[in-house]
Amino acid sequence: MDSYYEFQSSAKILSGSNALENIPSELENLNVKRPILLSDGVLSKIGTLQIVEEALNVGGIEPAYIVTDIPADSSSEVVNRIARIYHSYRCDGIIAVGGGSVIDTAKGVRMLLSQDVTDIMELMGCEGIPRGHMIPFLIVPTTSGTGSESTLVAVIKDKQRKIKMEFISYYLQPDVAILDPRMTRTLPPRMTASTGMDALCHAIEAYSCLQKNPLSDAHATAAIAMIRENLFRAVRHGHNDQARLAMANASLMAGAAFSNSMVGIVHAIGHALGGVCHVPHGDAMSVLLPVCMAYNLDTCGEDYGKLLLYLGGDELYASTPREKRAKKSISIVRKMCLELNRICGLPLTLQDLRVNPADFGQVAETALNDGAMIVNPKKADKKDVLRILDKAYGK
Amino acid sequence: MRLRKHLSIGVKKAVSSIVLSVLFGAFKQLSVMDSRMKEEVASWDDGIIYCLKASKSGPTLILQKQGTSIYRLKSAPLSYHDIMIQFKNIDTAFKVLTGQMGLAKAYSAHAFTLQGDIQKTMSFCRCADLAEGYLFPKVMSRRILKEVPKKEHFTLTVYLRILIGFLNGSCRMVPMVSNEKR
Repeated sequence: MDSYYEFQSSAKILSGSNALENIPSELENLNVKRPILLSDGVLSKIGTLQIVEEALNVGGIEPAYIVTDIPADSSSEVVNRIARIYHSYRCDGIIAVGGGSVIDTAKGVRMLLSQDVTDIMELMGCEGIPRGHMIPFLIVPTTSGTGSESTLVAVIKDKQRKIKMEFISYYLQPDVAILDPRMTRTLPPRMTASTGMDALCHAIEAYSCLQKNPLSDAHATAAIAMIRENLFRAVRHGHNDQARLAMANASLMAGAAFSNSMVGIVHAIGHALGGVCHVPHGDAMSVLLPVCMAYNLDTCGEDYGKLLLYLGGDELYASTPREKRAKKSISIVRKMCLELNRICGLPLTLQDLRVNPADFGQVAETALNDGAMIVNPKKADKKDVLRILDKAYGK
Repeated sequence: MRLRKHLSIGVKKAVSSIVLSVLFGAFKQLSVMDSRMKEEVASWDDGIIYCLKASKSGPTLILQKQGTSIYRLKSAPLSYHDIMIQFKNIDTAFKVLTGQMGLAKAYSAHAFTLQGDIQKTMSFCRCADLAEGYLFPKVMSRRILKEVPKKEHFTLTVYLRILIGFLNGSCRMVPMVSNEKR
Protein backbone atom coordinates (compact mmCIF):
# COMPACT_ATOMS: atom_id res chain seq x y z
CA MET A 1 0.00 0.00 0.00
CA ASP A 2 1.22 3.50 -0.78
CA SER A 3 2.17 5.76 2.07
CA TYR A 4 -0.49 8.29 1.08
CA TYR A 5 -3.73 8.26 -0.86
CA GLU A 6 -6.94 10.26 -1.19
CA PHE A 7 -10.41 8.88 -1.86
CA GLN A 8 -13.76 10.57 -2.30
CA SER A 9 -17.08 9.19 -3.47
CA SER A 10 -19.58 11.62 -2.05
CA ALA A 11 -22.78 11.10 -4.05
CA LYS A 12 -25.83 9.64 -2.38
CA ILE A 13 -26.85 6.56 -4.35
CA LEU A 14 -30.49 5.62 -5.00
CA SER A 15 -30.46 2.16 -6.57
CA GLY A 16 -33.47 0.01 -7.36
CA SER A 17 -36.62 -0.52 -9.33
CA ASN A 18 -38.46 2.61 -8.17
CA ALA A 19 -35.50 4.85 -7.58
CA LEU A 20 -36.75 7.51 -10.01
CA GLU A 21 -39.88 8.06 -7.94
CA ASN A 22 -37.68 9.27 -5.07
CA ILE A 23 -36.16 12.13 -7.09
CA PRO A 24 -38.81 14.70 -6.00
CA SER A 25 -38.08 13.90 -2.37
CA GLU A 26 -34.35 14.38 -2.97
CA LEU A 27 -35.04 17.66 -4.76
CA GLU A 28 -37.04 18.81 -1.78
CA ASN A 29 -34.13 17.93 0.52
CA LEU A 30 -31.85 20.00 -1.69
CA ASN A 31 -34.36 22.84 -1.83
CA VAL A 32 -34.79 22.63 -5.60
CA LYS A 33 -38.03 23.87 -7.12
CA ARG A 34 -37.05 24.81 -10.69
CA PRO A 35 -34.57 22.25 -11.99
CA ILE A 36 -33.15 22.30 -15.49
CA LEU A 37 -33.44 18.86 -17.09
CA LEU A 38 -30.61 17.92 -19.44
CA SER A 39 -30.81 15.03 -21.87
CA ASP A 40 -30.43 14.16 -25.55
CA GLY A 41 -32.70 13.77 -28.55
CA VAL A 42 -32.55 9.98 -28.68
CA LEU A 43 -33.66 9.53 -25.07
CA SER A 44 -36.49 11.98 -25.65
CA LYS A 45 -37.55 10.11 -28.81
CA ILE A 46 -37.56 6.61 -27.31
CA GLY A 47 -39.44 7.71 -24.20
CA THR A 48 -36.72 7.22 -21.58
CA LEU A 49 -36.74 10.89 -20.67
CA GLN A 50 -40.52 10.84 -20.31
CA ILE A 51 -40.22 8.18 -17.57
CA VAL A 52 -38.13 10.63 -15.55
CA GLU A 53 -40.48 13.52 -16.33
CA GLU A 54 -43.43 11.46 -15.14
CA ALA A 55 -41.64 10.62 -11.89
CA LEU A 56 -40.98 14.34 -11.40
CA ASN A 57 -44.56 15.35 -12.22
CA VAL A 58 -46.05 12.80 -9.83
CA GLY A 59 -43.89 14.33 -7.11
CA GLY A 60 -45.10 17.84 -8.01
CA ILE A 61 -41.93 18.99 -9.80
CA GLU A 62 -42.08 20.74 -13.17
CA PRO A 63 -38.67 21.35 -14.80
CA ALA A 64 -38.09 25.04 -15.51
CA TYR A 65 -36.43 24.12 -18.81
CA ILE A 66 -35.67 20.88 -20.69
CA VAL A 67 -32.63 20.61 -22.95
CA THR A 68 -32.75 17.66 -25.36
CA ASP A 69 -30.18 18.61 -27.98
CA ILE A 70 -26.93 17.68 -26.26
CA PRO A 71 -24.75 16.09 -28.97
CA ALA A 72 -22.79 12.83 -28.65
CA ASP A 73 -19.50 14.68 -28.21
CA SER A 74 -20.38 17.60 -26.02
CA SER A 75 -18.32 20.73 -26.46
CA SER A 76 -17.43 23.85 -24.52
CA GLU A 77 -19.92 25.84 -26.63
CA VAL A 78 -22.78 23.57 -25.55
CA VAL A 79 -21.78 23.91 -21.88
CA ASN A 80 -21.58 27.69 -22.10
CA ARG A 81 -24.96 27.89 -23.86
CA ILE A 82 -26.76 25.76 -21.25
CA ALA A 83 -25.29 27.83 -18.42
CA ARG A 84 -26.84 30.91 -20.02
CA ILE A 85 -30.22 29.13 -20.25
CA TYR A 86 -29.94 28.16 -16.56
CA HIS A 87 -29.58 31.81 -15.61
CA SER A 88 -32.28 33.16 -17.89
CA TYR A 89 -34.89 30.63 -16.68
CA ARG A 90 -33.87 31.16 -13.02
CA CYS A 91 -33.22 27.46 -12.49
CA ASP A 92 -32.04 26.29 -9.07
CA GLY A 93 -30.67 22.80 -9.74
CA ILE A 94 -29.55 20.40 -12.46
CA ILE A 95 -30.89 16.96 -13.36
CA ALA A 96 -28.87 15.11 -16.00
CA VAL A 97 -30.52 12.14 -17.71
CA GLY A 98 -28.23 10.42 -20.17
CA GLY A 99 -24.95 8.78 -20.99
CA GLY A 100 -21.39 10.08 -20.69
CA SER A 101 -21.85 13.09 -22.93
CA VAL A 102 -24.97 14.44 -21.21
CA ILE A 103 -23.48 13.85 -17.76
CA ASP A 104 -20.15 15.46 -18.64
CA THR A 105 -22.01 18.43 -20.12
CA ALA A 106 -24.04 18.74 -16.92
CA LYS A 107 -20.86 18.60 -14.84
CA GLY A 108 -19.39 21.34 -17.00
CA VAL A 109 -22.52 23.47 -16.55
CA ARG A 110 -22.46 22.99 -12.79
CA MET A 111 -18.77 23.90 -12.66
CA LEU A 112 -19.37 27.02 -14.71
CA LEU A 113 -22.32 28.13 -12.57
CA SER A 114 -20.60 27.44 -9.28
CA GLN A 115 -17.51 29.45 -10.23
CA ASP A 116 -19.17 32.50 -11.79
CA VAL A 117 -17.28 32.28 -15.07
CA THR A 118 -18.68 32.44 -18.59
CA ASP A 119 -16.30 30.12 -20.45
CA ILE A 120 -15.64 26.58 -19.25
CA MET A 121 -12.09 26.68 -20.66
CA GLU A 122 -11.14 29.08 -17.85
CA LEU A 123 -11.58 26.19 -15.44
CA MET A 124 -9.33 23.64 -17.09
CA GLY A 125 -7.08 21.84 -14.70
CA CYS A 126 -6.82 19.41 -11.89
CA GLU A 127 -8.04 19.85 -8.33
CA GLY A 128 -7.57 23.59 -8.59
CA ILE A 129 -11.22 24.59 -8.56
CA PRO A 130 -12.73 25.55 -5.19
CA ARG A 131 -16.26 24.47 -4.20
CA GLY A 132 -17.89 27.77 -5.24
CA HIS A 133 -21.68 28.23 -5.12
CA MET A 134 -23.70 25.15 -4.22
CA ILE A 135 -25.61 24.03 -7.32
CA PRO A 136 -27.77 20.99 -6.52
CA PHE A 137 -26.97 18.27 -9.01
CA LEU A 138 -28.64 14.92 -9.70
CA ILE A 139 -27.58 12.35 -12.25
CA VAL A 140 -29.68 9.60 -13.81
CA PRO A 141 -27.36 7.48 -15.99
CA THR A 142 -28.96 5.76 -18.99
CA THR A 143 -25.97 3.61 -19.90
CA SER A 144 -23.91 1.31 -17.69
CA GLY A 145 -20.38 2.14 -18.64
CA THR A 146 -19.03 5.63 -18.17
CA GLY A 147 -19.53 5.64 -14.40
CA SER A 148 -19.60 9.39 -14.83
CA GLU A 149 -22.22 9.65 -12.09
CA SER A 150 -19.54 8.83 -9.53
CA THR A 151 -16.41 10.40 -11.00
CA LEU A 152 -14.59 13.65 -10.41
CA VAL A 153 -13.71 13.91 -14.07
CA ALA A 154 -15.49 15.59 -16.96
CA VAL A 155 -14.35 15.25 -20.55
CA ILE A 156 -15.48 18.01 -22.87
CA LYS A 157 -14.41 18.42 -26.47
CA ASP A 158 -12.47 21.37 -27.76
CA LYS A 159 -13.76 21.35 -31.33
CA GLN A 160 -11.09 23.72 -32.58
CA ARG A 161 -8.17 21.59 -31.43
CA LYS A 162 -9.97 18.26 -32.01
CA ILE A 163 -9.11 17.09 -28.52
CA LYS A 164 -11.06 16.09 -25.45
CA MET A 165 -10.31 18.39 -22.52
CA GLU A 166 -10.17 16.94 -19.04
CA PHE A 167 -11.50 18.70 -15.98
CA ILE A 168 -10.72 17.11 -12.62
CA SER A 169 -12.30 18.34 -9.41
CA TYR A 170 -13.83 16.76 -6.33
CA TYR A 171 -16.72 19.19 -6.77
CA LEU A 172 -17.78 17.53 -10.03
CA GLN A 173 -19.40 14.67 -8.17
CA PRO A 174 -23.19 14.95 -8.00
CA ASP A 175 -25.26 15.21 -4.84
CA VAL A 176 -27.39 12.24 -5.85
CA ALA A 177 -26.97 9.45 -8.43
CA ILE A 178 -30.08 7.47 -9.36
CA LEU A 179 -29.73 3.93 -10.73
CA ASP A 180 -33.02 2.59 -12.04
CA PRO A 181 -33.16 -0.46 -14.35
CA ARG A 182 -35.89 1.22 -16.46
CA MET A 183 -33.26 3.65 -17.71
CA THR A 184 -31.13 1.00 -19.44
CA ARG A 185 -33.85 -1.49 -20.41
CA THR A 186 -34.04 -0.25 -24.01
CA LEU A 187 -30.28 -0.02 -24.52
CA PRO A 188 -29.51 -2.16 -27.62
CA PRO A 189 -27.25 -5.23 -27.12
CA ARG A 190 -24.37 -3.71 -29.09
CA MET A 191 -24.43 -0.56 -26.93
CA THR A 192 -24.84 -2.60 -23.74
CA ALA A 193 -21.73 -4.58 -24.69
CA SER A 194 -19.69 -1.51 -25.61
CA THR A 195 -20.54 0.42 -22.44
CA GLY A 196 -20.09 -2.70 -20.31
CA MET A 197 -16.56 -3.13 -21.68
CA ASP A 198 -15.94 0.52 -20.87
CA ALA A 199 -16.87 -0.20 -17.25
CA LEU A 200 -14.62 -3.26 -17.23
CA CYS A 201 -11.80 -1.16 -18.61
CA HIS A 202 -12.33 1.44 -15.84
CA ALA A 203 -12.11 -1.25 -13.18
CA ILE A 204 -9.03 -2.98 -14.63
CA GLU A 205 -7.14 0.26 -15.20
CA ALA A 206 -8.15 1.52 -11.74
CA TYR A 207 -6.75 -1.64 -10.20
CA SER A 208 -3.40 -1.26 -11.94
CA CYS A 209 -2.77 2.49 -12.08
CA LEU A 210 -0.28 4.46 -10.01
CA GLN A 211 -2.99 6.01 -7.84
CA LYS A 212 -4.52 2.68 -6.78
CA ASN A 213 -5.40 2.40 -3.11
CA PRO A 214 -7.30 -0.06 -0.89
CA LEU A 215 -10.65 1.67 -1.36
CA SER A 216 -10.37 1.97 -5.14
CA ASP A 217 -9.24 -1.68 -5.27
CA ALA A 218 -12.35 -2.75 -3.34
CA HIS A 219 -14.63 -0.88 -5.75
CA ALA A 220 -12.73 -2.13 -8.81
CA THR A 221 -12.74 -5.81 -7.89
CA ALA A 222 -16.41 -5.77 -6.88
CA ALA A 223 -17.23 -4.13 -10.21
CA ILE A 224 -15.26 -6.71 -12.20
CA ALA A 225 -17.01 -9.62 -10.48
CA MET A 226 -20.41 -8.04 -11.16
CA ILE A 227 -19.56 -7.40 -14.81
CA ARG A 228 -18.40 -11.02 -15.22
CA GLU A 229 -21.71 -12.27 -13.82
CA ASN A 230 -24.07 -9.84 -15.54
CA LEU A 231 -22.70 -8.35 -18.75
CA PHE A 232 -23.63 -11.28 -21.00
CA ARG A 233 -27.03 -11.60 -19.35
CA ALA A 234 -27.72 -7.89 -19.93
CA VAL A 235 -26.57 -8.13 -23.57
CA ARG A 236 -28.64 -11.24 -24.31
CA HIS A 237 -31.72 -10.32 -22.29
CA GLY A 238 -32.06 -6.55 -22.22
CA HIS A 239 -35.26 -6.67 -20.15
CA ASN A 240 -33.63 -8.60 -17.32
CA ASP A 241 -33.90 -5.87 -14.66
CA GLN A 242 -31.65 -7.73 -12.25
CA ALA A 243 -28.80 -7.85 -14.75
CA ARG A 244 -29.42 -4.23 -15.77
CA LEU A 245 -29.34 -2.99 -12.19
CA ALA A 246 -26.22 -5.03 -11.44
CA MET A 247 -24.48 -3.53 -14.47
CA ALA A 248 -25.54 -0.03 -13.39
CA ASN A 249 -24.03 -0.68 -9.96
CA ALA A 250 -20.87 -2.19 -11.49
CA SER A 251 -20.49 0.86 -13.70
CA LEU A 252 -20.90 3.20 -10.74
CA MET A 253 -18.37 1.27 -8.64
CA ALA A 254 -15.87 1.13 -11.50
CA GLY A 255 -16.38 4.89 -11.85
CA ALA A 256 -15.71 5.46 -8.16
CA ALA A 257 -12.61 3.27 -8.45
CA PHE A 258 -11.05 4.98 -11.42
CA SER A 259 -12.12 8.38 -10.25
CA ASN A 260 -9.80 7.94 -7.30
CA SER A 261 -7.01 5.89 -8.85
CA MET A 262 -7.29 7.26 -12.39
CA VAL A 263 -7.09 5.40 -15.69
CA GLY A 264 -4.02 4.83 -17.81
CA ILE A 265 -2.86 4.12 -21.31
CA VAL A 266 -6.10 2.51 -22.59
CA HIS A 267 -7.96 5.73 -21.88
CA ALA A 268 -5.14 7.98 -23.05
CA ILE A 269 -5.21 6.32 -26.49
CA GLY A 270 -9.01 5.91 -26.40
CA HIS A 271 -9.55 9.62 -25.76
CA ALA A 272 -7.19 10.40 -28.65
CA LEU A 273 -9.02 8.00 -30.98
CA GLY A 274 -12.27 9.70 -29.98
CA GLY A 275 -10.91 13.17 -30.55
CA VAL A 276 -9.08 12.53 -33.82
CA CYS A 277 -11.03 9.69 -35.46
CA HIS A 278 -14.43 10.00 -33.71
CA VAL A 279 -14.30 6.39 -32.48
CA PRO A 280 -17.05 5.76 -29.88
CA HIS A 281 -15.45 5.58 -26.45
CA GLY A 282 -16.71 2.12 -25.42
CA ASP A 283 -15.67 0.57 -28.72
CA ALA A 284 -12.20 2.07 -28.42
CA MET A 285 -11.88 0.70 -24.89
CA SER A 286 -12.98 -2.76 -25.95
CA VAL A 287 -10.48 -2.91 -28.81
CA LEU A 288 -7.58 -1.37 -26.87
CA LEU A 289 -7.98 -3.09 -23.49
CA PRO A 290 -6.38 -6.49 -24.25
CA VAL A 291 -3.65 -4.91 -26.40
CA CYS A 292 -2.71 -2.36 -23.71
CA MET A 293 -2.85 -5.00 -20.96
CA ALA A 294 -0.32 -6.99 -22.98
CA TYR A 295 1.84 -3.85 -23.25
CA ASN A 296 1.67 -3.23 -19.49
CA LEU A 297 2.13 -6.89 -18.61
CA ASP A 298 5.77 -6.73 -17.46
CA THR A 299 4.96 -3.84 -15.08
CA CYS A 300 1.41 -4.77 -14.00
CA GLY A 301 1.69 -8.57 -14.10
CA GLU A 302 1.15 -8.99 -10.39
CA ASP A 303 -2.03 -6.89 -10.38
CA TYR A 304 -3.40 -8.57 -13.49
CA GLY A 305 -2.68 -11.94 -11.88
CA LYS A 306 -4.75 -10.99 -8.83
CA LEU A 307 -7.61 -9.86 -11.08
CA LEU A 308 -8.03 -13.39 -12.40
CA LEU A 309 -10.02 -14.20 -9.26
CA TYR A 310 -12.65 -11.62 -10.26
CA LEU A 311 -12.43 -12.05 -14.03
CA GLY A 312 -12.47 -15.83 -14.08
CA GLY A 313 -13.91 -16.92 -10.74
CA ASP A 314 -12.37 -18.78 -7.83
CA GLU A 315 -12.02 -22.19 -9.47
CA LEU A 316 -10.11 -20.90 -12.46
CA TYR A 317 -7.96 -18.74 -10.19
CA ALA A 318 -7.12 -21.67 -7.93
CA SER A 319 -6.30 -23.98 -10.80
CA THR A 320 -4.03 -21.50 -12.61
CA PRO A 321 -0.39 -21.38 -11.50
CA ARG A 322 0.57 -18.01 -10.07
CA GLU A 323 2.99 -17.15 -12.89
CA LYS A 324 0.33 -17.77 -15.53
CA ARG A 325 -2.51 -15.82 -13.93
CA ALA A 326 -1.72 -12.43 -15.48
CA LYS A 327 -1.68 -13.82 -19.03
CA LYS A 328 -4.82 -15.78 -18.25
CA SER A 329 -6.56 -12.54 -17.21
CA ILE A 330 -5.66 -10.99 -20.55
CA SER A 331 -6.90 -14.06 -22.42
CA ILE A 332 -10.22 -13.88 -20.54
CA VAL A 333 -10.65 -10.25 -21.58
CA ARG A 334 -9.92 -11.28 -25.19
CA LYS A 335 -12.46 -14.11 -24.92
CA MET A 336 -15.07 -11.69 -23.60
CA CYS A 337 -14.47 -9.41 -26.60
CA LEU A 338 -14.73 -12.35 -29.02
CA GLU A 339 -17.94 -13.58 -27.41
CA LEU A 340 -19.47 -10.10 -27.52
CA ASN A 341 -18.41 -9.82 -31.15
CA ARG A 342 -20.21 -13.09 -31.85
CA ILE A 343 -23.37 -12.10 -29.96
CA CYS A 344 -23.81 -8.49 -31.07
CA GLY A 345 -21.00 -7.53 -33.42
CA LEU A 346 -18.83 -5.59 -30.98
CA PRO A 347 -15.78 -4.54 -33.03
CA LEU A 348 -12.53 -6.39 -32.36
CA THR A 349 -10.07 -4.18 -34.20
CA LEU A 350 -9.58 -0.58 -35.23
CA GLN A 351 -9.97 -1.86 -38.77
CA ASP A 352 -13.52 -2.94 -37.88
CA LEU A 353 -14.07 0.62 -36.64
CA ARG A 354 -12.84 1.97 -39.99
CA VAL A 355 -10.05 3.97 -38.44
CA ASN A 356 -7.62 5.29 -41.03
CA PRO A 357 -4.03 4.23 -40.14
CA ALA A 358 -2.85 7.51 -41.69
CA ASP A 359 -4.24 9.20 -38.54
CA PHE A 360 -2.15 7.09 -36.16
CA GLY A 361 0.62 9.69 -35.93
CA GLN A 362 -1.80 12.37 -34.74
CA VAL A 363 -3.54 9.89 -32.43
CA ALA A 364 -0.21 8.93 -30.85
CA GLU A 365 0.80 12.56 -30.29
CA THR A 366 -2.57 13.39 -28.76
CA ALA A 367 -2.45 10.30 -26.54
CA LEU A 368 0.97 11.25 -25.15
CA ASN A 369 -0.49 14.57 -24.03
CA ASP A 370 -3.49 12.99 -22.32
CA GLY A 371 -3.52 13.31 -18.55
CA ALA A 372 -4.16 9.57 -18.15
CA MET A 373 -0.73 8.78 -19.55
CA ILE A 374 1.09 10.10 -16.48
CA VAL A 375 -0.54 7.55 -14.14
CA ASN A 376 0.01 4.56 -16.40
CA PRO A 377 2.56 2.44 -14.53
CA LYS A 378 4.66 1.83 -17.63
CA LYS A 379 6.19 4.64 -19.63
CA ALA A 380 5.10 4.89 -23.24
CA ASP A 381 6.58 7.03 -25.99
CA LYS A 382 5.26 7.73 -29.46
CA LYS A 383 6.77 4.55 -30.91
CA ASP A 384 5.12 2.44 -28.19
CA VAL A 385 1.72 4.02 -28.84
CA LEU A 386 2.11 3.52 -32.59
CA ARG A 387 2.93 -0.15 -32.00
CA ILE A 388 -0.18 -0.52 -29.82
CA LEU A 389 -2.29 1.16 -32.51
CA ASP A 390 -0.88 -1.15 -35.20
CA LYS A 391 -1.71 -4.19 -33.08
CA ALA A 392 -5.18 -2.86 -32.30
CA TYR A 393 -5.72 -2.26 -36.01
CA GLY A 394 -5.03 -5.92 -36.63
CA LYS A 395 -1.74 -5.52 -38.51
CA MET B 1 4.77 26.72 15.41
CA ARG B 2 7.56 24.83 17.08
CA LEU B 3 11.04 26.12 16.34
CA ARG B 4 12.12 22.81 14.83
CA LYS B 5 9.22 22.78 12.36
CA HIS B 6 9.84 26.46 11.57
CA LEU B 7 13.51 25.78 10.83
CA SER B 8 12.66 22.70 8.79
CA ILE B 9 10.27 24.70 6.59
CA GLY B 10 12.83 27.48 6.20
CA VAL B 11 15.51 25.01 5.10
CA LYS B 12 13.14 23.23 2.73
CA LYS B 13 12.10 26.54 1.15
CA ALA B 14 15.73 27.62 0.74
CA VAL B 15 16.78 24.31 -0.81
CA SER B 16 13.70 24.27 -3.05
CA SER B 17 14.52 27.78 -4.22
CA ILE B 18 18.04 26.70 -5.23
CA VAL B 19 16.77 23.54 -6.94
CA LEU B 20 14.19 25.54 -8.89
CA SER B 21 16.98 27.80 -10.17
CA VAL B 22 19.05 24.78 -11.20
CA LEU B 23 15.97 23.21 -12.77
CA PHE B 24 15.41 26.33 -14.83
CA GLY B 25 19.07 26.26 -15.85
CA ALA B 26 18.61 22.65 -16.94
CA PHE B 27 15.45 23.50 -18.92
CA LYS B 28 17.24 26.40 -20.59
CA GLN B 29 20.37 24.42 -21.53
CA LEU B 30 18.67 21.15 -22.43
CA SER B 31 16.17 22.95 -24.67
CA VAL B 32 19.21 23.68 -26.84
CA MET B 33 21.33 20.58 -26.20
CA ASP B 34 18.91 17.65 -26.02
CA SER B 35 16.95 16.78 -29.16
CA ARG B 36 13.89 15.48 -27.25
CA MET B 37 13.73 18.56 -25.03
CA LYS B 38 14.21 20.79 -28.08
CA GLU B 39 11.25 19.07 -29.74
CA GLU B 40 9.08 19.41 -26.63
CA VAL B 41 9.83 23.12 -26.17
CA ALA B 42 9.28 23.74 -29.90
CA SER B 43 5.76 22.30 -29.46
CA TRP B 44 4.89 24.85 -26.75
CA ASP B 45 2.73 27.82 -27.75
CA ASP B 46 4.74 31.00 -28.19
CA GLY B 47 4.42 33.13 -25.07
CA ILE B 48 3.09 30.35 -22.86
CA ILE B 49 3.98 30.62 -19.19
CA TYR B 50 4.64 27.64 -16.95
CA CYS B 51 4.60 28.40 -13.25
CA LEU B 52 5.85 25.87 -10.71
CA LYS B 53 5.11 26.84 -7.11
CA ALA B 54 6.61 24.87 -4.25
CA SER B 55 3.54 25.50 -2.02
CA LYS B 56 1.31 28.56 -1.72
CA SER B 57 3.95 30.70 -0.03
CA GLY B 58 6.97 28.80 -1.26
CA PRO B 59 9.58 29.63 -3.90
CA THR B 60 8.35 29.83 -7.48
CA LEU B 61 9.73 29.16 -10.91
CA ILE B 62 7.99 31.05 -13.69
CA LEU B 63 9.25 30.42 -17.17
CA GLN B 64 8.01 31.71 -20.48
CA LYS B 65 8.65 30.57 -24.00
CA GLN B 66 9.64 33.59 -26.06
CA GLY B 67 10.37 32.74 -29.71
CA THR B 68 12.58 29.68 -29.70
CA SER B 69 14.00 30.14 -26.22
CA ILE B 70 12.76 30.03 -22.65
CA TYR B 71 13.25 32.74 -20.05
CA ARG B 72 12.72 32.98 -16.32
CA LEU B 73 10.29 35.65 -15.16
CA LYS B 74 10.16 37.35 -11.80
CA SER B 75 6.38 37.50 -11.81
CA ALA B 76 3.58 37.22 -14.32
CA PRO B 77 -0.19 37.49 -14.40
CA LEU B 78 -1.43 34.12 -15.59
CA SER B 79 -4.30 33.63 -18.04
CA TYR B 80 -6.08 30.40 -18.80
CA HIS B 81 -3.67 29.84 -21.67
CA ASP B 82 -0.92 29.36 -19.09
CA ILE B 83 -0.14 26.58 -16.66
CA MET B 84 0.34 26.70 -12.92
CA ILE B 85 1.41 23.70 -10.91
CA GLN B 86 1.21 24.42 -7.20
CA PHE B 87 2.29 21.92 -4.58
CA LYS B 88 -0.12 21.63 -1.66
CA ASN B 89 2.70 21.71 0.89
CA ILE B 90 6.41 22.43 0.97
CA ASP B 91 7.27 18.98 2.35
CA THR B 92 6.11 17.14 -0.77
CA ALA B 93 7.53 19.83 -3.05
CA PHE B 94 10.87 19.33 -1.30
CA LYS B 95 10.67 15.58 -1.89
CA VAL B 96 10.01 16.09 -5.59
CA LEU B 97 12.65 18.76 -6.05
CA THR B 98 15.33 16.77 -4.26
CA GLY B 99 14.69 13.59 -6.20
CA GLN B 100 12.95 11.59 -3.48
CA MET B 101 9.69 11.46 -5.41
CA GLY B 102 8.89 11.57 -9.13
CA LEU B 103 6.34 13.89 -10.71
CA ALA B 104 4.09 10.95 -11.68
CA LYS B 105 4.12 9.73 -8.12
CA ALA B 106 3.45 13.24 -6.82
CA TYR B 107 0.49 13.53 -9.18
CA SER B 108 -0.83 10.17 -8.01
CA ALA B 109 -0.51 11.32 -4.40
CA HIS B 110 -2.54 14.47 -5.20
CA ALA B 111 0.50 16.48 -4.18
CA PHE B 112 -0.25 19.44 -6.41
CA THR B 113 -3.08 21.31 -8.03
CA LEU B 114 -3.03 22.30 -11.65
CA GLN B 115 -4.54 25.31 -13.31
CA GLY B 116 -4.68 25.24 -17.10
CA ASP B 117 -4.65 22.73 -19.90
CA ILE B 118 -3.66 19.23 -18.78
CA GLN B 119 -2.54 18.43 -22.35
CA LYS B 120 -0.02 21.27 -22.32
CA THR B 121 1.20 20.21 -18.88
CA MET B 122 2.14 16.74 -20.07
CA SER B 123 4.90 18.19 -22.26
CA PHE B 124 6.25 20.14 -19.28
CA CYS B 125 6.22 16.93 -17.18
CA ARG B 126 8.16 15.06 -19.86
CA CYS B 127 10.72 17.90 -19.88
CA ALA B 128 10.98 17.72 -16.08
CA ASP B 129 11.54 13.96 -16.29
CA LEU B 130 14.28 14.50 -18.86
CA ALA B 131 15.91 17.18 -16.72
CA GLU B 132 15.77 14.92 -13.66
CA GLY B 133 17.38 12.17 -15.71
CA TYR B 134 20.36 14.48 -16.21
CA LEU B 135 20.48 16.21 -12.84
CA PHE B 136 20.07 13.24 -10.51
CA PRO B 137 22.37 10.23 -10.26
CA LYS B 138 21.03 7.09 -11.92
CA VAL B 139 20.43 5.40 -8.59
CA MET B 140 17.96 8.17 -7.72
CA SER B 141 16.35 8.67 -11.11
CA ARG B 142 15.78 4.93 -11.47
CA ARG B 143 13.70 5.08 -8.31
CA ILE B 144 11.58 8.08 -9.23
CA LEU B 145 11.14 7.76 -12.99
CA LYS B 146 9.19 5.04 -14.78
CA GLU B 147 12.11 4.80 -17.21
CA VAL B 148 15.47 6.57 -17.00
CA PRO B 149 15.88 8.59 -20.21
CA LYS B 150 18.93 7.91 -22.32
CA LYS B 151 21.38 10.78 -21.95
CA GLU B 152 22.54 12.52 -25.11
CA HIS B 153 25.20 14.44 -23.13
CA PHE B 154 27.28 13.91 -20.00
CA THR B 155 25.67 15.14 -16.79
CA LEU B 156 28.86 17.07 -16.02
CA THR B 157 28.56 18.96 -19.33
CA VAL B 158 24.97 19.92 -18.48
CA TYR B 159 25.92 21.14 -15.00
CA LEU B 160 28.84 23.08 -16.49
CA ARG B 161 26.56 24.75 -19.04
CA ILE B 162 24.08 25.59 -16.27
CA LEU B 163 26.89 27.16 -14.23
CA ILE B 164 28.10 29.16 -17.22
CA GLY B 165 24.50 30.24 -17.79
CA PHE B 166 24.33 31.60 -14.26
CA LEU B 167 27.67 33.37 -14.60
CA ASN B 168 27.00 35.00 -17.97
CA GLY B 169 23.51 36.08 -16.96
CA SER B 170 21.52 34.05 -19.46
CA CYS B 171 19.57 32.50 -16.57
CA ARG B 172 18.66 35.86 -15.04
CA MET B 173 15.07 36.88 -14.61
CA VAL B 174 13.59 38.96 -17.45
CA PRO B 175 10.38 40.97 -17.86
CA MET B 176 7.38 39.18 -19.24
CA VAL B 177 6.63 39.49 -22.93
CA SER B 178 2.94 39.78 -23.61
CA ASN B 179 1.82 37.87 -26.60
CA GLU B 180 -1.54 38.39 -28.24
CA LYS B 181 -1.37 34.93 -29.79
CA ARG B 182 -1.47 33.29 -26.38
